Parts: sequence; C-alpha cells; structure tokens
Amino acid sequence: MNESDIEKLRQSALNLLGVIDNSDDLEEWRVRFLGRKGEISVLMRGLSSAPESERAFLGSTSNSLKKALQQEYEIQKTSLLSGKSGVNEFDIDISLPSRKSPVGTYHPTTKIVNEIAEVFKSMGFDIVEGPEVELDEYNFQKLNIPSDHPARDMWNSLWVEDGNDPDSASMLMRTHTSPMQIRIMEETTPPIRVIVPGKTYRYEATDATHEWQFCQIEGLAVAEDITFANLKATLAEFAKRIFGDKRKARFRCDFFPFVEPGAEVSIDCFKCEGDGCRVCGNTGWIEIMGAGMVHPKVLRGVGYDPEKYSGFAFGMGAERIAMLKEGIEDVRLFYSNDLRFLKQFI
Amino acid sequence: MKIPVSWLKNYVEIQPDIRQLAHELTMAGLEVAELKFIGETWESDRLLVGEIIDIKPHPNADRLRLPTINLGKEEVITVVCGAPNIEIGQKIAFAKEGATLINPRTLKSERLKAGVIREVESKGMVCSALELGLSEEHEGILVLDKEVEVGTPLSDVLSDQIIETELTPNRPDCLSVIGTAYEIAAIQQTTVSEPISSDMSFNVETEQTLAVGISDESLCRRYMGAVIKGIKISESPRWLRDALTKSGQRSINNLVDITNYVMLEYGQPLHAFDLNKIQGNQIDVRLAKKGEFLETLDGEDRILRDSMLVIADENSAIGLAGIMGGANTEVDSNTTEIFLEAANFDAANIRQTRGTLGLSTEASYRFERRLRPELTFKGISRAIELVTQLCDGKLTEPVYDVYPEPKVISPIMVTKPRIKKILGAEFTMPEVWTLLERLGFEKVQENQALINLIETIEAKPFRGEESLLLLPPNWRSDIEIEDDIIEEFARVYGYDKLPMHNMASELPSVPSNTRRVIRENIRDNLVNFGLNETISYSVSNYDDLVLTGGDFDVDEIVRLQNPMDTTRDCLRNSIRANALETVSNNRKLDQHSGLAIFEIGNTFRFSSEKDSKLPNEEEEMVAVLTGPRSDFSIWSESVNNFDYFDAKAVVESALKFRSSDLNFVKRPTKVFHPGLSVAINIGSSVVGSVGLLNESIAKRYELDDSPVFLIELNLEEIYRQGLSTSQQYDSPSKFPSSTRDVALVAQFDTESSSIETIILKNKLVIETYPIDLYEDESSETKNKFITYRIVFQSRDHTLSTEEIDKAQQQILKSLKYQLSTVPRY
Repeated sequence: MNESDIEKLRQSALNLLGVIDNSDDLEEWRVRFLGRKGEISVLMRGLSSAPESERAFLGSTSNSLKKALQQEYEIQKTSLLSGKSGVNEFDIDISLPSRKSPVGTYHPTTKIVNEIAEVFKSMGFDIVEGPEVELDEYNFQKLNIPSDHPARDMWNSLWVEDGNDPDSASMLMRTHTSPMQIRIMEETTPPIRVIVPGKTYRYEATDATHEWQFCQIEGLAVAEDITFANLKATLAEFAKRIFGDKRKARFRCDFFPFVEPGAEVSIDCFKCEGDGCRVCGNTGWIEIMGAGMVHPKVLRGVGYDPEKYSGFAFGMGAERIAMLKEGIEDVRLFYSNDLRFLKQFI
Repeated sequence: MKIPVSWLKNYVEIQPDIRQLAHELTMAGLEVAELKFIGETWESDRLLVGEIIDIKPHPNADRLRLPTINLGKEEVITVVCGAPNIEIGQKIAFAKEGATLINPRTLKSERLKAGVIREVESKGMVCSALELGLSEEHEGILVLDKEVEVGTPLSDVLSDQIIETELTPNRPDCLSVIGTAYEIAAIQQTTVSEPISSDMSFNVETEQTLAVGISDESLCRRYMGAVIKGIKISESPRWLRDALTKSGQRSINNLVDITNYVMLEYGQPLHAFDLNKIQGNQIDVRLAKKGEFLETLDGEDRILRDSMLVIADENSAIGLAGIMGGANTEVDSNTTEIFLEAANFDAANIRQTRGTLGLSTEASYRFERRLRPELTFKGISRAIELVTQLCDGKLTEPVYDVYPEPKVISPIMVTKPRIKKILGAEFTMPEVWTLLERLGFEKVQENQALINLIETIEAKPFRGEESLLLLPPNWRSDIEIEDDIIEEFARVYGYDKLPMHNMASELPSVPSNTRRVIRENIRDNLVNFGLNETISYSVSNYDDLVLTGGDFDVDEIVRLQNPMDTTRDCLRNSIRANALETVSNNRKLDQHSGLAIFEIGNTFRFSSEKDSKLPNEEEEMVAVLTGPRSDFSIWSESVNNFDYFDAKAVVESALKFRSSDLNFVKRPTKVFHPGLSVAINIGSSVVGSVGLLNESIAKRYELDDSPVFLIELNLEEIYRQGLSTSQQYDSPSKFPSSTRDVALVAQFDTESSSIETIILKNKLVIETYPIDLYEDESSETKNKFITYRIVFQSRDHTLSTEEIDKAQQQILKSLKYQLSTVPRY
C-alpha cells in the first residue's frame, strides 16, 4: 500500500456518504468502510507489506482517516434521525430574551463605600458610624475650629433648631465626618484604626460637582508611633487598590485646622496618564482627599498626651471617588433617585 | 489673589519658568489656581507702540474720530476710533490688521480684521486695556508712558504674567506681594529685599496735634496714624495704575491708589481720612453706641450695634474699624491734608461685624484672618514714603503709635526627636535650619539681644545639636507650636520627598460592629432578591410626614433653621414619604415597568428620654413594590402585578438569618389597607410591618393605578434581636423519606400557619407545605379547601407504611380537635 491508496479510499467513502439519504444505506456504508472487515481494516492490515521506513507514517495517516470517517458517520446519522421526525423540537430561536430573574442593584454610593471599606479593613481598620446631627462643639470647636474663625467658611452649615432655644446655633447637620474623630478618641484608648463612612451635609448651591448632601469617609489611625510616613504609605496603597496598580499618589501641603502638617492627596490622572486632559483639568493630577497628622490641640482636647501619641487622619468624598472611577459627570444624579441611572450599577 | 510677576520682581528674583514656579508653590501649600500670560500671543510686528500725531473728525459719525498714528520707520496710518480719551501726542498701543486681541464682546482671542466703519476704511485699531487682556474693564484706550519709543513691539513694554493664588485661611501673609515673595524665595533658595527696613524712622521735630487713643484695647491691638499735608490729588503714574489693574483693582487717584497698593504689597490695610473733615482733635477707637449711625463709603447708611468697633472723632463715628471708612471723612479731589491710618483689629470681632452687616471688603478679609501688629509699622512707613513721593505730601508731625501691650513673641523649640516622631524621618538640625532660615525664621540662640528681650522662654531645655529655638517670621500669624514649624520644614523640603513606611504599630482589638454586619446582611439580601437601592435627601416636611400615616408628637420633629429647600424644612422621622416619592417620580418616567426599591437610612426624632440634646437617630428600611412583577420580556408567560406574597418574600429574604422565628400577624395601622396590614415579628418582638398601602396615601403620590406594597423594618429593633442564635448543624438522615398529600377542609379564617404548626409537631414529619388552595366564599359556611403535602422521615430506620399511617391519623386527629379542620373526602 501507499499514500495514494489511502487518499483514494477517503475520496470514495466521502463521495458515497454524501448521497446517502436513509439509515439502511448508512448502515451499509458503515459496514463497508468502518466495519470489522471493512475497507479501512483491510487497508490497515496491508500495512505490514509497506516498506519499513514508511510504515509509521502510513499507519498514522490511515488511523486519522478512520477517525474522520467515524465522525462524518455520526454527523450523518444525527441529521438523518432529526430529519426523519420532520421538525427538530430543539430548533428554537435562541436569540429570544431569556427568562430573567430581577436584577437588584446597590446604590453607587453604597457600592463605593463598600469597596473603600474593604481596602481599609484589609489594612486593619475597623468601620464605625456616628450621628448625622452634631453639636457645634464636636463638628467645629473640638476640631480646633473656634467660633468666628475664617476656616468656618470652608464648611457652610445647615443649622438644626434646638427645641428649647430656637435661636441658638449649637446643633447642625454634620458638615463632615471628622467629629467622629473626637467621639472615637473620647471613648477609646489607642491604638486606633478606624474609618467612618456616613452622610454629611453642607449649605451649598448644587451643580455638577457640588451636592448639599453627600457621603464622606473619614479615617483615623492613632498610636504611639504613627508618622507622616505611615500616612503617605497607607494612602498611596489605598490609591493603588482603588484606582489601579499603576497609580502614583502625590502629597502637597494643605490646610485643615484639625491636622498639622496638613496635606492634599492626588493621584496621577488615570485617563491621560498625567499628560493633562479634561478629567484632571489639564494638570495631570486628580485631587482625591485631604489628610494630615492629628493636631496636638485636638489630641490634648480628648485627653491624649501629644508627646506620647500621634496619629493621622483623612477624609474623602465617596461620590467623588465613585464619579472618578465610574466616569459619572454629574453628582446630582446620585440622589435624584432616577432608577434609569441607578439600575446601571450592577 | 492676583499677583503680577513684574511686581514680584521688585523684591525677589523670579526663575524664568513660571509654570514650574507655580507647581512648586502649589506643592508647598500656596495653591496657584491660574496662570495668565499677558502678551504671550502678541505678534511683535503687529502690536506696536504708536504716537497719535493728528485727529480728524469722522465724516459720517459724531462719536467716531480718525486719529493718524505714527508707527516709526516712516510708517503712518489713519484708523477709525470710538474712544473719547484720545489726544494728539499720546503714546498708544496700536494693533495692525491680523493682530491677536481679545474681543470685548466675546472675551475670546481673535484676529483683528480690517473693516469699513460708516464708510471709512480702518486697517487696525488703537487698543484698550481690555482688548490687550490687561484689565477686565473697558474704559477707553490705554495711554502709555511718554518715554516709550515709537515702533517698539508692545510685548517689550507691556507683557507680564499673572499668578492667581487660592489661599487657605491660615495664610493672610500671602494676601500680599511681599508675603508671596518670601514663599518664592524659600522655594527658590534666594532672598527678599523689602522696600521698607524695620528700623526706618521719620525725623519730624514738631509736636503731635491729635489725641489718638484706643478705648477698647482688646479689640484693637495697635493703632498707628500719620498726619500728612500739602497733598495734590491727581492721576497715578502708569506703573502704579498698571500694578493695580493687573491685580484686579481699579485705579482711582494717586492717594487712594497708594493705600490700595500698600495693602496689596504688604497685606496691611490702610485708610486715609480727610483731616479737615475730622471734627475736633480727637481720634478714638471705641465700640459703637447702640443704634449709632454711619454712612459708609459705599453710600449705605449703617445702623450699628454696640459690639461693632468704630473709629470716631469728637462728634461721631468716622469709620467702621477694619472694614470701611465713613462718607463723612472721605478724601476727594480737593483733599490736601489727611490722617493716614494703619491699625491692627481683632479678627473675630471684624468677622462678626462684617457678617452682621453683610459687608465684606479687602480689608475685612485680611483682618479676620489675623494679621501681626508688627505689620502696621511697615504699612504706614511705606505709605508715607509713597504719599511723599507721588502726592507731594509732607509728614508734618511724628507718627502716632498707640500700642498698649506690645506683643511678646515666645520662641518655639524644634527638636530632632519630635521631627522624627511626626515625619517618620531623621534630619540634621543644620539641614532643617537651612530651609527655615529661607522662610524668615530667626534663631534665638545666636541672638543674645533677642533672648534678653524675651521675657519668658519655654521650660524646655536646650538640647544643642538636637534642637533649634526659633522665632517665627514677623509677618506670619499662623505659627504657634512646634508642629507648625515641622510643617514649614516639611512643605519646603517637599512632602513628595519624605519617606513612606507601612504602619508597624500595634493593631487595635476590633470589636465586631454588629449593627453594620446585620444592616449589610439585610442590604445584600434585598439586592440579591432583586430590589434596587435608592438614597434620598434626609429631609421632608411636616405635612408629608403626617399624611403618609405618621403617628407622632409635633415636638419630636427636628427642624432646620436654614433648609436648602423651604418646602423640606424638617428631618424625616420616617423614610416612607421619601420612598413613595421616589416610586412616584419613577412611575412618571416609566409607566410600563414594575418597581421594587428599598432605602436604608437614619430617621430623626427629639426625645425627652435622652441625656444628650441631640435628636435620636434610628435606622429604618423601607421597601416598595408596585406594578408588574417583572419588567422583562413577556413572550413566554403572562405578567402579574406584585402582590402580598412578593412583599412577604422580600421580608423573609431580608431577614433570612432569623427565618427560624420570623412570623407574621395581622395588625391594622393607618398606613395600610385595613384588610392587609401585617406586623413582622421576630419571636414575639415586632420588628416591622408589611402590607398594602392605604388607598388615600397611594392617591397622594399618584400611585393608585396598581396596588402598592410597602415593607418597613425597624432596624434598631432587629439589632437588638441580633443575628440568629447559633444554629446547630444537622446531618441528613440516611433513610428514605415518604410523602403523603392530605386534603383538608378548614374554616375560612383558619390560618395555614396554624395547620402547619400542628402537622410539624409530629416527630416523623420533617417538612410540610400547601400544594393546593381553594377558598369558597360563596357558600354560607365559608370554607377553605387546602391540601398539604407532608414529608415523613426517620433518622434511624426506613419508615413502614403502618408507621406513616399511624402518624397521619394522629395528625388528622389533632387538626380536628384543635382547629376543627377535617379531611375532605
């Protein structure tokens, strides 16, 4: 035998198979070619007469021919079977919509808070929460923001009527989650590592980047040996985990009365990789939060010895982080409760 | 603050790369919000200095004229000009056709086109400051100095860069050109040369003629004044006008411009009173009398409170201290003699007054940020110098200086260990000193004279090479403690260059936050069940809270003093109204889809039982289901509206961690339809309610087209109940189970749950559930036909038919005796 014998066999088998239209003929075909005494078996038996050098090659070629014909046989058999019954009961329009179960969604703020919380939990931070209506004392004074201080302009407040004294400005909707720094420190002793997510409120006109109600995430770490170097490492790591491994964090000096030194944390723009674009306002950097070392006056105010303990604190707007991550362009979408928007956050 | 680089260059060398400088300033804490390049786009062959050599009237328009301009190199051109202030001999900025200018109408850069104006061709124009981008006002053409040479490219004469800084409230010193120069010097490692030296003196040998005093010393730390006579009021020289316009201020006249210039230069607000309008010879800094009246320079009549500080002469107030002068002593074009004031007022008091009067000025803005009293000396000295030079004025008396308690500045010790504790990095003290010196700090160790001057020195011992004893620069009011100085060092050193270390501190023991665990469990369950989470503003109004079935005492309501929206002036004491509004709004947006939403959030109530004056904040979950059950394709089946059993499933899903003792009991409330109002219990505690929303409430929210199911969970009560008590793991039986279906006839009001309870009491029953239900309301007896499937199984053997028969008989007997429920045959 030689290679052309195998090829001739393939041709004649396939030609015959092509015209078969009933299962009797198909069975006959099977016996003739694939049967125990069929042509392939005969062919393979002839292998021993082939020259030694070609034997291996011819063996594997006739083997693959056998497999190929077997496959063709199965296909023909299936198609004859289904053809027999007239209609294939599984021949359905698979492009019709599926039978869906309803898809629930988390609010985008919840989604980002959970994501951020996971990052900090893995770094040993606990999650605590606190009141949304606060005393001036906690929202401002104990954070080193006395009355009649120009720094108060940084937080326009929604004041709450005190039932007993309607004119007093002693209670307000918290303007930031920072009062929880005080409440936590007053109730515990270091070491402390917490984040505080929660609603905050400002008396502020709304536009695409300003909302009067939003969610802030506060962070606080206090121990005997917390340093600015820790602040940098922790927040740089946070930025990488939320915005991707390639992100670099940048720290610049900024002012918040309850920290010293104070810092603003930015990341290099993930959209343009720092070249400057619309997302980063052509600066290459995107501001993501404020941070700093807890001010010694704040520590002393809660009864901690600033010579012994030090700590860092930070605060970020959850919606801002979500807007950056998800490419949301208008913060007012968050609380408009338009389900056409909310249902996209699967 | 807008600072022209040309002005800065008077005091400090500026590196050529302004963008890099802006970046470095920003990183060090002085944020540069904008950089503006004046003249960057000016073509040197199209924008030139010209001289008006002739002016002819326009043949067809009275308001227009035709100046002829010499541009040098024998080039002369005549154009059309509408500005009223052109004169022959003026040097002006001329733009040829094609020059890039700012269009005053669009405020955008455009190329100048030749035009025909009322039939006269004009191939160029005489420019105003606005068209050149020098000013934001359009006030006639810009007149240049006589000295500039005709034909010079305009960019050689006028180009500049403006740095606009955005300041944090702790840095009033940078509300000045010189303060900013010190920042730049520190960053660029160079020095500042101030126009005034701190030992400057004016030798005037005459007697003082005024009695200047401070009645309220706590509100005015220092009051300096100067009497200057022989003043000639005129227009300011170009450099002064330029400096002010580029800084965003208007030029008024030489005297007023000088007070503004010095305020911008040094940051010390000044005020000039017309000396001849002051009554008597007395000037007093005192609190206003209650109801005292003052017309301020802006022409407003002000009625003052007795907490407001004024400057007064013998008769009345002549100025609102630190905010604005009085109209009664205003300088005008006839003024020849002035009393010039440079004072230091209490920051908090100025802030209160300007807040009460709604009158914020450049002066009040600076004072409320706390200025150093040392600054008054520099301010008044510089102003005297300029008034002498530019207004021909003469200081006729010694300068007044009322400074009851000169401020004693305590030196601050900075130590190496503290720097390490805060920054987490070690620095040598000489390294630290190099940077601090550039910021203007003074070392106390090296200056024995200063040490002697200072009365008390902090108790900290000197530590030689480990420490520095420093005095902050006398223009900085924000440096009070050691950590402030550490920040100064760190920010100039560069935050980005400081090291990063992972926290190595001891981990706190973390108590589990069960509230959060349970809440997030419920939230996850609701989302997994297919509900969409919404979040509303935490506000509502009294009517909505009452009319959505709220049951509360009016004293409990928490009201806002200054709500964002006056129709939502109180905090919600229930999420119900918010959730219904959300549903209502979304129904309007999409009529076809069903809605299944929930919100978790705080509710607010005042409670007399609480120690704190703060309201009680309680967490609640409200879910609403309404409309078609599914909003997906309906090709395969018909779609029904949500019903009670969907709502019940939501509850069971939300609270599945307590499924073992969750139960439902009918309990009418005004929120729900009386027939379908159900209390949700864990064990015997009510934790919420579920039911069909009362029709009148549904109507109020335009939700009466399909039934609305409402679910409310009191999360506080669920937190008290906690997560389920430790559930035991059960290994499944190895023996087969058998099922029997029993058809029963029960009374109409027999609850299926009681049938189930009885069936489940049998020890061989592991599970039972109804598989068929028919309620016959028509017959007189009102029966309920219900078929239960009962699953029998034993843990230790295969049940025989006899055992199952026996068990079934026992069950039927119990049902008959306890519930009058009998088998149906």
